[in-house]
Amino acid sequence: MTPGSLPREQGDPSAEDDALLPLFRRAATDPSARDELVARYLPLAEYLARRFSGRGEAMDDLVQVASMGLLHSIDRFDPDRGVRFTTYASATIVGELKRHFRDKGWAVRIPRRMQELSLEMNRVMPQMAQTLGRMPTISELAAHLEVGVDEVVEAMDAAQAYSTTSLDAPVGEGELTPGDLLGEDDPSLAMLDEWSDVAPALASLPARERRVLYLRFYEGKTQSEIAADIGVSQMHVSRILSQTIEKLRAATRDRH
Amino acid sequence: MSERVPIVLELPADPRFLLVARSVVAGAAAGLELPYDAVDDVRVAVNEAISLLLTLPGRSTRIELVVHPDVDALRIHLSTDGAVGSWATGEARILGGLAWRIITHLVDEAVAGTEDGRPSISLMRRTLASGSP
Repeated sequence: MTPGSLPREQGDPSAEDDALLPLFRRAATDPSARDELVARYLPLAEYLARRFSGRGEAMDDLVQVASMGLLHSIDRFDPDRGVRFTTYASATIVGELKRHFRDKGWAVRIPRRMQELSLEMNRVMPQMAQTLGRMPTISELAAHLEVGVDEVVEAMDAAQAYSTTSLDAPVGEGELTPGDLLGEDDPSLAMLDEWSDVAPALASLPARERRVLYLRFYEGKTQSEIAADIGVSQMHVSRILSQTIEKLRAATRDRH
Repeated sequence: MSERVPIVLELPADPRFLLVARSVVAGAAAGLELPYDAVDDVRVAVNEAISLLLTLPGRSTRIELVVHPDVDALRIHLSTDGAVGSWATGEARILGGLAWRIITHLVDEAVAGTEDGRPSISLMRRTLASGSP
């Protein structure tokens, strides 16, 4: 299935919804009917989860959240109210996914307004960078989003509180992971010589984190260049850098 | 190049105030022609520089942060009231260490020095208006 396309298994949602109405009526008391509905509509949950990929969350986690939304939809759906199940379920699943991004991905408590602004900044920056031929300034970003520069400054810190994905989190639609994108040869190991004082800590870092450090501090690439290299957003690179530096600092502190 | 009014801030020598310093620097940079990721770099550099000053031998009670948001560059000066000579005694280890390496990669110029007997770090990141960001 290509990104943005509807799952083929769904066919005509309206006709399918109608055909399954008896199952919905039995679902509350018949676990096999509920299971059948889950299996039937799982592609819808997966499709909606994919629409939220590329925002720094692992695809497996998104599918799990969407699946929970699907279960809630099946449990709460009233087949006699005249609303199509796919309509009802889509709204519920998307609601669950949005709530997940607002509440679950943040390492510390950040005001919702800042969480949303930070995610919005993450979304528009690549488009602006393409138009401008460079990363936007804070003023340009604020003007584009019609918010104050002070809000963008505040959101910069909020962005750091958002969790990064695991190395094995799929990059998007396909089966590639960020780890795959790094290739088998890991030139970042060259850092171990020059950064010998933190070599054990460096060696123990996940390959992606070491790679980001290498690209930034060894090859002198900018955050946005690294983002393009490894297929994540600039803000994601920023978070990886900050968190990795903090890990190394902690390792250094422990050693002294 | 025209210059703007500098921002002067005195903070307790405590890592809890790193967030304040980062926010002040980002706020000062907001009016300059500095790309978002460059501002982020400077924020990390300031974070590391203050953390480094806090690790110096001698007891610091406060950190002074002075930010010059000039049209051609963002200039930052950090100093502590740590013991005289404390910078020099730890210089070899500190200037060869991780934090200093990170700082020097994130800004265009980083200078560790002593001012009126106080250890200090000066950072500079050029803006797009300087012609060589």
